Amino acid sequence: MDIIDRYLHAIEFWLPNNQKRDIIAEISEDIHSQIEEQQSQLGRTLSQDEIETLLKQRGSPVLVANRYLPQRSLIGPVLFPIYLFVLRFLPMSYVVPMCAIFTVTYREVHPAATLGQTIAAAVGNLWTNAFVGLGIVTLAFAALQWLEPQTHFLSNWNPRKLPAVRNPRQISRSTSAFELAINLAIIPWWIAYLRGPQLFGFLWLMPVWNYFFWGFLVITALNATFSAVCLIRPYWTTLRALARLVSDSFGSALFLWLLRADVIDATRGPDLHNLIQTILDHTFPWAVIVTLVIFAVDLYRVIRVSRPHDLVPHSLSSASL
Amino acid sequence: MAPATNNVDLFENLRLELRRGSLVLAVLAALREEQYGYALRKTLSEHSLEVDENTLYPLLRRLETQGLLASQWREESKRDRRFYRLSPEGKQILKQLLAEWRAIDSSLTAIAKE
Repeated sequence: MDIIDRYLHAIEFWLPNNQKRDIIAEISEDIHSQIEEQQSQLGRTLSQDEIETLLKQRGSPVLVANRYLPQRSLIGPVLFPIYLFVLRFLPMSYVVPMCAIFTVTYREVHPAATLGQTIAAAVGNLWTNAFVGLGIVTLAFAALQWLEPQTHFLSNWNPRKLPAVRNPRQISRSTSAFELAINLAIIPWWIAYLRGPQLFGFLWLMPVWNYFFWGFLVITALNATFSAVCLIRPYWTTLRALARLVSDSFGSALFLWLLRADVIDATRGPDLHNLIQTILDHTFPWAVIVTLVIFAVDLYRVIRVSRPHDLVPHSLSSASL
Repeated sequence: MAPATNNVDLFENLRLELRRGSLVLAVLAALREEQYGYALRKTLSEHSLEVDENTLYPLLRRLETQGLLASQWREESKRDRRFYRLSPEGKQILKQLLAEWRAIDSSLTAIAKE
């Protein structure tokens, strides 16, 4: 019966100390009763193969032991969908931004690094951040799971506090009004103070500034018009989402060009020129990151708006209640 | 072929689900008379309620922890066996559960007739 002892010993390994002897004694008794009954029916002793088959039918030791253990989970079935939902946002909200910050910092610390070295370091950091992010989120949800039986926060909810049904195409009128006011305020200020070639009495600009002056002025005027339209018709259309994408891309590209254009006249104050140019040089990589984020957000909006939406029709909420 | 197989699987899952709920009742009812685990399995099996040992023994322990069963190890046929029987509290619960069962049965019978 060595095979049965081995089977019982393997089950015992997974059982809690204070119950193992009792449980194993009962399983052992059940196995022997079953063997005894079969032997009595067959009129002979069971072979090793037959006993092996019988044990296999009972299930693997860890599976058998598991049935005696309390049901435990790091993240339970109620929190698990929320956990997955949060994990979906992890790449864009944590991993990619952290990797971008690392890459910029890496270039600052190792200015002589080649593109290949930078990419290799960034990829290495990407994995580290991914695992750290995953670990943090998992630990946070495990802590929530542990707290739930004590606080019952999942049971304490109020239907009135549920988020309002929101039309994803809706544009907030207050946001549009705010944007319109800001843009309208910027236009006269821009024309009055940033025409050049001298700014604020001490900064002299190169002729290239004209492109930026007019470029930003046109973008601001377009944004003001856009905000006015959204104020009157407060919802996204594919055309409007595309217009915002183009406008933001154009504005970002212009801004990046400004950072690289050497727009300050060095002959009228080399020290100030050097100081400002150093600041602009350090700003450039961060501006690239912000530009990419804006582009990603705008692109996501175009995709989202161009998809058909299944919204709860107002008629349902009003007619049926 | 696939839908037929799916239907068989679906029926089997639903059948197991239905029987799982009734298992506690069957075990409590069968233990009005003292029995050891394997004998209980045989009793249930004779009444067409096949229960696998990995379900039955953990259930017996749970019911005992809940105070519905009492058990003791005793030697019988030259082997130590754990005998279970219904506790006084278990008798009370069984009575209530049987009443509930009959009510469900009667409701289902009425609904199925409609």
